[in-house]
Amino acid sequence: MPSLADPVSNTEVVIIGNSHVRALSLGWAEISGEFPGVTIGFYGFRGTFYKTLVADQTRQVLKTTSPELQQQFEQANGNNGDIDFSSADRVIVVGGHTWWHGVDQRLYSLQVVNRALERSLHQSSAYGLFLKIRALTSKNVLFVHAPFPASRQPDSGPSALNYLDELSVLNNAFLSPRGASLMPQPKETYGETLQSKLEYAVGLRGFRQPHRKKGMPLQKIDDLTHMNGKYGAIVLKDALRSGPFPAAAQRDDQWS
Amino acid sequence: MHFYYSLTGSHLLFQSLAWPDAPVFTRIPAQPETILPISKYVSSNRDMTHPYKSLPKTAFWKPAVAACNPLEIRDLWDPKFAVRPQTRIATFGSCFAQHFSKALIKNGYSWINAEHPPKEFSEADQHIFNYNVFSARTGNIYTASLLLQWLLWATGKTAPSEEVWQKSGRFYDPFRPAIEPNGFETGAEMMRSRNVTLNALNAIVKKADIFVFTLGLTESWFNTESGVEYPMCPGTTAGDFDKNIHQYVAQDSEFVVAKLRQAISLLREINKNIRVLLTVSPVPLVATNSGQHVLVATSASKSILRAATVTAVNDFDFVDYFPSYEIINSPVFRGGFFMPNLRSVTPEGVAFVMAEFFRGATACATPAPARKMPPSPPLSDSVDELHCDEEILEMYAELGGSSE
Repeated sequence: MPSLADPVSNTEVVIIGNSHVRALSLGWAEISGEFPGVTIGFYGFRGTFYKTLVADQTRQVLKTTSPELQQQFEQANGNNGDIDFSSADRVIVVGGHTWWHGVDQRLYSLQVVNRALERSLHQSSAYGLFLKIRALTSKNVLFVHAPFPASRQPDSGPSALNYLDELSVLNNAFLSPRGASLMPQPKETYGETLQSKLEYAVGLRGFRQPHRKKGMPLQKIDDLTHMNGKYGAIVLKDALRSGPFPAAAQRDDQWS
Repeated sequence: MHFYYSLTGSHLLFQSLAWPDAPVFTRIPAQPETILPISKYVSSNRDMTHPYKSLPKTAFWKPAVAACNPLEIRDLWDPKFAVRPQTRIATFGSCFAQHFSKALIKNGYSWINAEHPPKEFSEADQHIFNYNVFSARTGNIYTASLLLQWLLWATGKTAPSEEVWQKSGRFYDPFRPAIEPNGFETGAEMMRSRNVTLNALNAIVKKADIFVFTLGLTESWFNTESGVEYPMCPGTTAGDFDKNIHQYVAQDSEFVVAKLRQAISLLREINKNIRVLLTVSPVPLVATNSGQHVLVATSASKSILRAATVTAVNDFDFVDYFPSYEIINSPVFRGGFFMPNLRSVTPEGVAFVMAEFFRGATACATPAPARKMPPSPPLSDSVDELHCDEEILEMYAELGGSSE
């Protein structure tokens, strides 16, 4: 695998994910100059659009069953809107992972924690997408989980103390043997708790309409769930510069 | 062998006769009365008064049992205190105690669960790791003395044992040997896990309205050096048996009563409002180390436990007894509530027991304001999923137990 940090490398990257792909897409606009040899196809849509994807075994592509999405993907990336992994050097799955937290490791044995982590992974929609990708290719896959929501009370969330340990368990016990890995959220983007720093949040977004009493003013709401391009750039740099992916082991059957 | 029966009311009388040519289940003609009819006897003593004259129907075998369809026998339990859906109920004890938690949840009662599994756990995971089985992850507590030991540790009255069993690089809790498959990663992790359970048990006792305890066994194993009691004989589920320190104790009536009294008193000391509901498991012993036939040993064991509950109920006005044992084991039901192994209780038997529990509870309870309770996890009611540590002993019979 070519080193993605090497600007002369010709590398194709496929990024599939939910609404959090947008931050990476915005970030790519900022940092693409640092990666002249890299081409990225972005396939993102809100919610669980993964469910509309089906594996076309004959053409070795993922197709969406949604005409609107197909049109959108075609406009962005061509190829009839299909997601083709044949020439991809790196596959990145963004979001769709119900990030596991809140289990106090002081209360549970390592066996219990590991089992919970495995279950969490299996319950995520990213896992479902991974299965579809695995039906087509054994290429390595990098998971980038949804960002921790930002908060105006930065110390109120669950502790980040065990975060990297949990990731380590997931990677070593479950993902690495299957040719995949889960990338930690870059350290500079969150604090002592599992909450993204406010500076990376998208900020004000629209108005809260539902259940508004007659005569009451519209209320601006914050989007503290989605991050901005600045965040996307940091994540994407990490993703592209991460070391060689773990070798694809012959254990794909365990994902089925 | 052929069986004959006669009908006396709805009661089947079985007679065993060696009569080769006779058809099976032949009806015997009614026999002439040889005893003075009760009505004549009563009429001749019309003016006599005695307590039996004012007893309810349930006090008399014929109307309460013999004349009834067994499945329609009612009023087996007259609760001392109200059990309402919002009553906070903790359950511990032998395998049979698990039926209580499942039935309480299923019927919308407030079962206390102080050790929740991670939310990601499937029902199968919960089962494997012993979550949602008892109100805390104590595993089976078969004896009154073991309950007392748990309570003393949970309340800090005595220091918990630091004994750890080790096997193939894994660490096992001698007091919950099957609580986790393959034991724990380290001894420290095992101790930490047990402390979580002890803290949970302490919290449960403090907040429970009713503490349900199902007594299961009188045969027990102690460590002669430390004095601790194990739920299982060392060397069976885990650990190594050492005849020099591991001592078999067949608990007699006096011992059980004393330990039960202490346990109940301690519960009340921690929570002055707590009530205790005792039951005796109807499940026979898997194996006995008494030297007796297991059937005889079972009878002795259950008799001791049952007698101890009578004493406890008489001693404490906040202690009641629920007749699980009688409902399953009474000859009235002809063993029909047991599985083919004549040990495991059928789902129908469990349902019958628990229906009687809820019937009694409902009859006793008066309406009270509902208390909002957190949702309880769904639990399977399959009898195959019970956690019975002692069943490991069955394996030893199959591996060549002596036939003598």
